[in-house]
Amino acid sequence: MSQSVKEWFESRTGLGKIFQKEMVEYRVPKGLTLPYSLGVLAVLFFAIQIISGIFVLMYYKPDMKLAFDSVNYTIMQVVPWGWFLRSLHAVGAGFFMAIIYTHMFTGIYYNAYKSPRQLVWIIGWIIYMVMILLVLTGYLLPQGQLSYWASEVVSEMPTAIPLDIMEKVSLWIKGGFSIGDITITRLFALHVVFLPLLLIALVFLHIQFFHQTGVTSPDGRELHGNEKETVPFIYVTLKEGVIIAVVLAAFAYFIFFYSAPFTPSANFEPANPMRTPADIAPEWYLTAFYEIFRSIPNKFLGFMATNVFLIFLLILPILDTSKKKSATKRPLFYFMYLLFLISFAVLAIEGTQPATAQAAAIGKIFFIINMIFFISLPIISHFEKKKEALQ
Amino acid sequence: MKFLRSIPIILIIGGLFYALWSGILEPEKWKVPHSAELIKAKVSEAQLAKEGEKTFKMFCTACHSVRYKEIYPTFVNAPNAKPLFKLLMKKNNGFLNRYIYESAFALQLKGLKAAFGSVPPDLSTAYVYMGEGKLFNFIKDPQKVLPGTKMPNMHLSDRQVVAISTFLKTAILPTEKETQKRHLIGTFVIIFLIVLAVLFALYRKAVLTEEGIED
Repeated sequence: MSQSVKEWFESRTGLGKIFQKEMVEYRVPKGLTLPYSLGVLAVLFFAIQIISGIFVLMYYKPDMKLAFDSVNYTIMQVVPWGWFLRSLHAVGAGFFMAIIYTHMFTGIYYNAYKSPRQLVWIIGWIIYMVMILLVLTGYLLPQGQLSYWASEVVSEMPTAIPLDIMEKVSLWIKGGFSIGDITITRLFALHVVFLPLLLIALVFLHIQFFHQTGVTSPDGRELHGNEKETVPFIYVTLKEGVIIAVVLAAFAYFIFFYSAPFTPSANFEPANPMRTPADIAPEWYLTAFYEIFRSIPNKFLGFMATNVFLIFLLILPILDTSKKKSATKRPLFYFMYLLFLISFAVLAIEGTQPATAQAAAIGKIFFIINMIFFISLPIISHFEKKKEALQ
Repeated sequence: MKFLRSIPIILIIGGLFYALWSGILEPEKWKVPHSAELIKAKVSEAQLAKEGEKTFKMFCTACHSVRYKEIYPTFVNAPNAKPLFKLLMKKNNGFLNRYIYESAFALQLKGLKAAFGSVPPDLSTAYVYMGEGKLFNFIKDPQKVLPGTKMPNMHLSDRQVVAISTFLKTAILPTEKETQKRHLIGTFVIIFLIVLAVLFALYRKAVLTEEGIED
């Protein structure tokens, strides 16, 4: 009976064949290291965000005067298990961003942006941009003091470009001269409908593209189609199972015991348009950009500097032309990569500190170190090509 | 050797997350004095919260509300406002949202604004955004924490201040009993997930040995 039902569906949908091909028989290199499970973890946390988001959405009110109480009173105190849903969504966002960043950095480490995976990298970069928009729009919704002033700062961003029309663009984003009901409903619509739908489509493309080209191997060899050194995906699934359970255990710790770092205390003060908070810093996933932006005295140049960083990330496949893959095989690249990581970490940490002359100096120095990594890539590639030619 | 190469990376990324999340970058400026800590150790939280509610109603409700605890400024009990207030509370299941509260009592709130320069804030979430130490010192001596504030010094004893602070804590954070319940559930969830991880690992090992695949 069950067999005939299965056949009935299979002959009409063909989904079983796709599942068998992509999820069971799809082959990946042997001995994949831990960072290779970050992709699956990211998909898992995306699912958690969508599910918890739907439930939080049921009680949230996108309104200047009601939003704060709907989050902090209705969801946190009135709705049974509402605190759990909100923690799931808030802590989940933090985990999601942490995983995305680590995924991106390990992608650079294993040179996952090189031929034939350039499109995987570019789609990944677009996903990162959409994610930043998602966390920014989500951050505004509780209407705390931080939310309010963060959205004020972000919507003023276009005016960094010295063109008359940019004032109008900023007004157009806000829907008025200050953050109001129109801004909230606007960003609310983006956060719950447009951006998640876009992200689903992009994630689908990202997965399809890397299934087409195959995964990088930790030691940089191309093993796609090599039967001997690869294993069917189903064995990796079992490994992922272990990692997912461990990460979820850490996730559970933050939800049940220690969710405070994910819901900043300053955001428990209702938005007050009359009073600017003394020190505003964005959440940790944007502090590096914030540090670059504020360490350069000229607003336009600061804005461009943050963009230069993002654009360098996007054009990594063009910058790094060496045939060699994976930092494990490239000592020079490995050294520069460490510098890149350190400078990024310093920028991110310094961005949470109060704006002083010292912070600005540190910001400039480490921004330059960060840029040196990208600029050195063509040079490293040149040396490696030369060395290869000699051999 | 392969492992050695990943150590610096783990250290940098791990150190970054540790620094950002552990709060070591923002040390607490205001501390609760030792005498107040002693009171908290001696008296139970529920008792302090109960005392705090009484003290709050006595000293603070001339200006402040705690809407999450259904506490409103004393002007709602004035003869001209009381019938409206009672009706509104009944129609809204005991919680007035900001539209209702700020329009129904717009005149009274305007009066407070005229007297103090700005409307004294609702204190439902004050415990979290001020932090325990800052809140304690602020109630004890407002000028010390926020120079120039219009909030008067009420000359309260340590015990009264601790009680008010504990009461405000219960307005936004879960009670001790509720926290214990959450911790218990959390412990079970974590144990379950770790057992699951171990079982998964054992199952995987069994499958790999059976199929003769090395990894």
